[in-house]
Amino acid sequence: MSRPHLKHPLLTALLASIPALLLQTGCSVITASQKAEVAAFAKVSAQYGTLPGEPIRAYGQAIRFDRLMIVSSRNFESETSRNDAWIHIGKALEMEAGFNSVANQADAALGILDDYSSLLTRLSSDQFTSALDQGTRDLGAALDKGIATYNRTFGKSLSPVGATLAAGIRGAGGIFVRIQQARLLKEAVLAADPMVTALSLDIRRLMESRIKERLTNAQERLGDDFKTAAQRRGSLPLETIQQVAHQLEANQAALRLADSAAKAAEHLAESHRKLAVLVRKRQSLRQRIEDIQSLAEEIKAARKIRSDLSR
Amino acid sequence: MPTHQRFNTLQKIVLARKEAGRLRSQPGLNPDQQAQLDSAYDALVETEDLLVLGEIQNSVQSMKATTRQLSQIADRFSQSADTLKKLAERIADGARALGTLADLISKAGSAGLV
Repeated sequence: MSRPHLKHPLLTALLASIPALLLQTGCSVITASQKAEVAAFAKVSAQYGTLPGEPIRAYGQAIRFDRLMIVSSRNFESETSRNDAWIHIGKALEMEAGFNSVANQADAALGILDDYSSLLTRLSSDQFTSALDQGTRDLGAALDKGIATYNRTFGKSLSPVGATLAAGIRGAGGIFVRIQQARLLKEAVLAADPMVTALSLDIRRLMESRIKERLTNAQERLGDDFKTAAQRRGSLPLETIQQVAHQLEANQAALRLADSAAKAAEHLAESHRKLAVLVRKRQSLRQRIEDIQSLAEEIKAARKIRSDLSR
Repeated sequence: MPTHQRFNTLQKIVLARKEAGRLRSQPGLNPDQQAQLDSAYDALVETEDLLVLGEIQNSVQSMKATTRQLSQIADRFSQSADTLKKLAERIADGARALGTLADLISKAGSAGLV
């Protein structure tokens, strides 16, 4: 037997008019484009990881190897020269540790990009409105149960309004939350945009004007020191030559990595800039259509609760 | 040391190191000359590496200053997101409380208490 189903035209009309009313007052909600752009930014920043730290580490490694190559070219006949060589080995390790420490600082500093993109993902997620779903479902079910009990006890035939009321609360609450989310997302993105741009510039400057040039210098220096060692020794074992070749490959890889890190930093800033444009410019027709679509999603969620509860 | 000054000094040190490197690998040096040139080369290598380390350190410090500001923004909006989540949960809790009240009233009604 189907349950008595009374229409509530006033409530339905009120629900249906919410999107139009909110749009008229200039309120904005999280849209699909914003979600997509946030997802794109999160992907770019997650991939960024420890990119800039690696070429710094590679530079430290190159310096260590070169310094050991310098030591290997020395004559160890006197005690002083042996002591000096020992000191130089220690200094080579110390210097590498210094570059590793700076690389770790860069990694730690850039870890904020993960936190920031997680925040944006959270601000554009459904986690805020999903809590409303269960709460309003519980309300609707309890109200209808109460009305049924009342009807049975007192022989009345009040219609079960729980589903409609729950849908109303879900719809209005959901839209309110979405508006707040959109406001927070906009404020966060606009506040962070100058920092993301500055950070991207800092990284590009570091990679392009510093690391790449220094890695090229380090490679030339290794070449000079290898030739000096070869000249003084007369010949070098295959193992040393293999290690030099390995170091050259590592330098080339670090140069390519520095290039990638610089390009990725530019991509990161571009991706964020797109997001900033998207949250700032909300008067376009496309945006308004998306606003309506997003609000319609909220209404759909509310109606789903009503239809689920009415079953 | 200011950035441009560090950069200029580094360029000069690199040139000097290259020159010392060229001289020390020339044939015909006596052991004293070789030791002196090696010592000068070591000092230039040490200075070059320290200047590069300082240069990279400076760049990373500048990045750290920017990321600190970004971190403050992330913290601030994370707190706002927490508040919004609590608000959504309160709306849901309010709806649940209304439901519980309706349930209580209906139970009281069926028990003849209201």
